[in-house]
Amino acid sequence: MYTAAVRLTSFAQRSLRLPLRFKVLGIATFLGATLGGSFLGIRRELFLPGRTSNGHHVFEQSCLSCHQPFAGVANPKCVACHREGRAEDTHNTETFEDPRWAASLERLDARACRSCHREHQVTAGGATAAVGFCFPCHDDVAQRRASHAGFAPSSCANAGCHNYHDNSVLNVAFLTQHLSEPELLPTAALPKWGGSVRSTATPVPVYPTSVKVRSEVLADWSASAHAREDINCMACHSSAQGAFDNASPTAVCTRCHSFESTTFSSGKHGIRSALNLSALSAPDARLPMRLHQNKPPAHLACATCHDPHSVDTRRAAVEACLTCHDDAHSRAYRSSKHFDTVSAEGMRTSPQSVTCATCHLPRVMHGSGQEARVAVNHNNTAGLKPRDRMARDVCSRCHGLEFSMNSLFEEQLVANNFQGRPSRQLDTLKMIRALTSSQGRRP
Amino acid sequence: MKGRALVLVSGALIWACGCNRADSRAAQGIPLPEVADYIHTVIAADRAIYAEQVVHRLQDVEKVIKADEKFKAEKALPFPAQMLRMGAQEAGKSGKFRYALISKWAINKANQPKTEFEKNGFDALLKDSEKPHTGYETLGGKKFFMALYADKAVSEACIRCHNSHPESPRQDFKLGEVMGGIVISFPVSP
Repeated sequence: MYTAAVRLTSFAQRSLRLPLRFKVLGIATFLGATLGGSFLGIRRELFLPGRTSNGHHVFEQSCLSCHQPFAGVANPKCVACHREGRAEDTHNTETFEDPRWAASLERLDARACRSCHREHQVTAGGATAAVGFCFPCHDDVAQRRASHAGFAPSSCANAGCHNYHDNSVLNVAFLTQHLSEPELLPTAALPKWGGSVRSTATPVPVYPTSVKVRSEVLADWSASAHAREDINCMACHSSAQGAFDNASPTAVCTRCHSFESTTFSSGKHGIRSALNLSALSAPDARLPMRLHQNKPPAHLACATCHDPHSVDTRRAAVEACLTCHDDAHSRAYRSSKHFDTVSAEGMRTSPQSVTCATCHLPRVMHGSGQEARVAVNHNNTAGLKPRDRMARDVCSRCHGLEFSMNSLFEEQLVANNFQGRPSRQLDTLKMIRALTSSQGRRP
Repeated sequence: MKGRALVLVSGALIWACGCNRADSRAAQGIPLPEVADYIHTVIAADRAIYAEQVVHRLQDVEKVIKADEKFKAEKALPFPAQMLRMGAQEAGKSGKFRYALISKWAINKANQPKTEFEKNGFDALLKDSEKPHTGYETLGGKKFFMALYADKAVSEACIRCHNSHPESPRQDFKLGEVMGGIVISFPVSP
């Protein structure tokens, strides 16, 4: 021990006696190796200039997903992911390419996403533009609409009245049309999902005799939708050469479930995999997650929520979510009225049962004509913002729009998973009611 | 000898000047006001046919489908003005020229005259709607040739909507009246 200490001291003394150029070279090499190693993937977050937004933090190590070398961040990189709702964009960037908007663009360049969304500066709602950014162009709103006199510049979006991009719900015609709906619609039902053709024959698993298959795997498969559709073992467990392959990667699911796979890759659950990063796991999240002490966190892929043999969607609709999610909203689900609808159905998903997936992975019509079918949108973030989009696409299947919006915009109700009724009415709905009354229209 | 040489040199100069003028005309191509006329003719014809043969026929005569401002949500036809704007946006992606439908009485404020050319041009059209108002304007550091054409009420559908829309600033339009203008612009400097 003593000898080692003496040697170390001796090494330090010799190092101090080195010429200056060697000292500088040594320090530069150390820094270069450390920073270079960090950038190449060991600790790339060291280079982040600030906290990344909630939407982007799960792939913040992938700088090139947003940045182009020596060219900054350009719209196409943003739009490649943020396609959802662009068709309804009230302020789409193409409009402002017209030179007649030149004077307005000097105040706020509405052509560039980053004019309002500067990354590495987290703000509530995701926009970094100054509060009241609507006013440079809409400063005459009080003259045009007496009902808006005296409103604060910050209230355009903060009060839940307007979105900058998607106003397909927040417009007079749509709100007026749905204003008098009851809290629970008499036609309350979700689109019926599924439709596999049950074969009359008993399903027979087909696999090479040299492969030993556990009996529970055979039992799971025999009772599955795959068996009913005659999707046999080799459909998933086949190597490129046609031999039996025990490992069945996510790409195998994608071959048949392309819509589900594409939408999964567009949401926070799947974006890391889509960018060739390691798949998302619970520690990557900012939301409170349940971490299991005795086993490493699962990396999200199809099989994380869907057992590949039973392909049981019941587990994927509730249990799989609550295996990881541990925030107040998730914890409150099992004591909510929505959960009662599921337990009343014996935990089966039906047009009347509301699971986690009902709201966060909603059933949508996909395809057109004879190809149209009810499919599950696996983009788990698509319905979260703006909240009125979830009111229209999900809640209003069963509830009146007014009840849905009043509930969705009340933080306490969101946190306790909608246990209770909304305590207030949104200002925008009050204004629509006043407008329709003044025009003699029945809301 | 000197005289012959002088004649030859003069002839060569006259020929060269002639060639230059021809080259210059060829290089200039079709005058910009004429190009704007061609484009306007197509836009106006398409819009008139859409208003009469699609919207008016299907909505008012055969009563098959209605036209609605929220045409996607209502699974309806877009109004002729909306159709024109969608076409303008699509054509604008080429970057070669742009056009827009504007009016002092636009329901959406975004479609009111914005630039000096548009404001002056709109007033000029109200005095004389038969010929376009043309000129040059520098916008965002680039020079543009601009042409503004009067846009008249071509169908009942146009005036019915504008005269009844709660947010329409003017509600007494008549068929054939100037309701707005179509502004066409080309960049003439890089």
